[in-house]
Amino acid sequence: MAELLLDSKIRFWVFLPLMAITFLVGIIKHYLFIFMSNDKTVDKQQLTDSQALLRSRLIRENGKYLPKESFLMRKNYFTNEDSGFFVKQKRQSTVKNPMSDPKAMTEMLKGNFLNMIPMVVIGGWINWAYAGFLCTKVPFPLTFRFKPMLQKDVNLVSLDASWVSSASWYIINLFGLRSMYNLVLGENNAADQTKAMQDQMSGAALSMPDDISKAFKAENESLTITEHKWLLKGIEQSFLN
Amino acid sequence: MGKFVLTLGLIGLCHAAYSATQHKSYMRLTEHDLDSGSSHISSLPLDILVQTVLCLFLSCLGVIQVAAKFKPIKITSEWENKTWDNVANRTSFYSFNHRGKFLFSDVDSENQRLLSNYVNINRAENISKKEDYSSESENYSLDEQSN
Amino acid sequence: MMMKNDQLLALSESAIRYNHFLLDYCQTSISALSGCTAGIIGLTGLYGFLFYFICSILMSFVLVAFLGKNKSDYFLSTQSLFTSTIWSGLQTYLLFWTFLYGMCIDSII
Repeated sequence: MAELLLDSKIRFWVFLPLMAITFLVGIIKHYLFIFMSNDKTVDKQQLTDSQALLRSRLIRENGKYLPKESFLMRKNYFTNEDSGFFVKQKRQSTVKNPMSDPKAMTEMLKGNFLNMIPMVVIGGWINWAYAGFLCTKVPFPLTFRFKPMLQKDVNLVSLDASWVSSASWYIINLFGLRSMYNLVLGENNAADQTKAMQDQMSGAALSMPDDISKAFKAENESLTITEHKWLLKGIEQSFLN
Repeated sequence: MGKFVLTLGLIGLCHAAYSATQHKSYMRLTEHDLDSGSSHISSLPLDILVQTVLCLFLSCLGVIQVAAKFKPIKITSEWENKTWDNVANRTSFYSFNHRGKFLFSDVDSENQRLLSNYVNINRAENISKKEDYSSESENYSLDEQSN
Repeated sequence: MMMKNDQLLALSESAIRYNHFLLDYCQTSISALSGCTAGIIGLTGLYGFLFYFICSILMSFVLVAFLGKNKSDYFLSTQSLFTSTIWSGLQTYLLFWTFLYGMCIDSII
């Protein structure tokens, strides 16, 4: 097959701009996301409930280090049939409907908005403005099965499969540049990480179960069947020896 | 130092890329590379090749010097420069139900409230006993409290 | 925090994660840079992939030399330095290889 040659204007007016646009749009999206997302607020009731659940779990797991009376006292506090915490607390089982909660609704809308709009708008614009160019050639041979993937908008049967069309180049960039965002916005990502750690420390990032009364019931059952097993039996002897 | 090496490497890479394009267009213009089109390793002159690889190596070194500031993974090294107060700070063991509530509350209003309770109790008692002396004993009790 | 049972060594999970993040960072930059290089010198086909793996392993060696003797302070195993991120950088490498190859391809002026 005869060697194809591309006009160098394609290189400077299609190939390069596509990459720059994809990259910059990604960065703008990131900063918009930071700009628009606000801190989650947790109401007191939820925090109390999740802390109680956490505490009960800790008792189940580490109760073996407590003396028997202390363990039973704690267990009784949670699971007493008349006055136990899990029995007494009656939360209305509100599986939150995101449609009815305006806050969650706006959050969801924002997330969708930020993901969808650039995809649709930029993708549409690129399809409109840069349709039908052959941009580049991948430097390795490919089978013909890759043709629909790499040559969107260009329906030439006899063209070698390693040529890439502009729309496909955009899509390749969209996926390939993800780790580059990590590189460029790395500091922000690190900040997010430390922030998540802080949340973990203060216990604010506990995952809230959707149905708190169901979680209480389950925790109640599992704590009730937990038997006390004193792990430090004869610890004085083993220390002395 | 790392940043300098990295910048040097990147500039060198850019320059190598530019020279490669120049060379190729030159070859194209002089109709030179029609015979070497099929070879896998390109027909770049040696100096560009060497420059590219050298700059890659330089920027590798630079990146590693800039980025690779690893943290020791042993927990002891992390705790070496922390005080015991920080390490032993566990949220699960916080207790908010203690005497500090009274220590730092608004003292005057608290006293006032206790006092009025006391007076009410006294008044009720006095009313049940004798209505005549109620006002006097109220004054008395007030004085006693304020002293 | 996690405990390694055989010698009861307390490890900081956040530090491990941070180190892995940094390793990933290095890998991504090296793949981007080596992709650029491969594009500039115009490698094609199998040679390009070979070049990636050579570069990646070379970077690991440089890292090992950089960390020196006390690399067990930072990573659990030396092997993870070589193998843990080698596949994650391939996508970046391919992108930059294609990009620079396309930029340096001979074309009509």
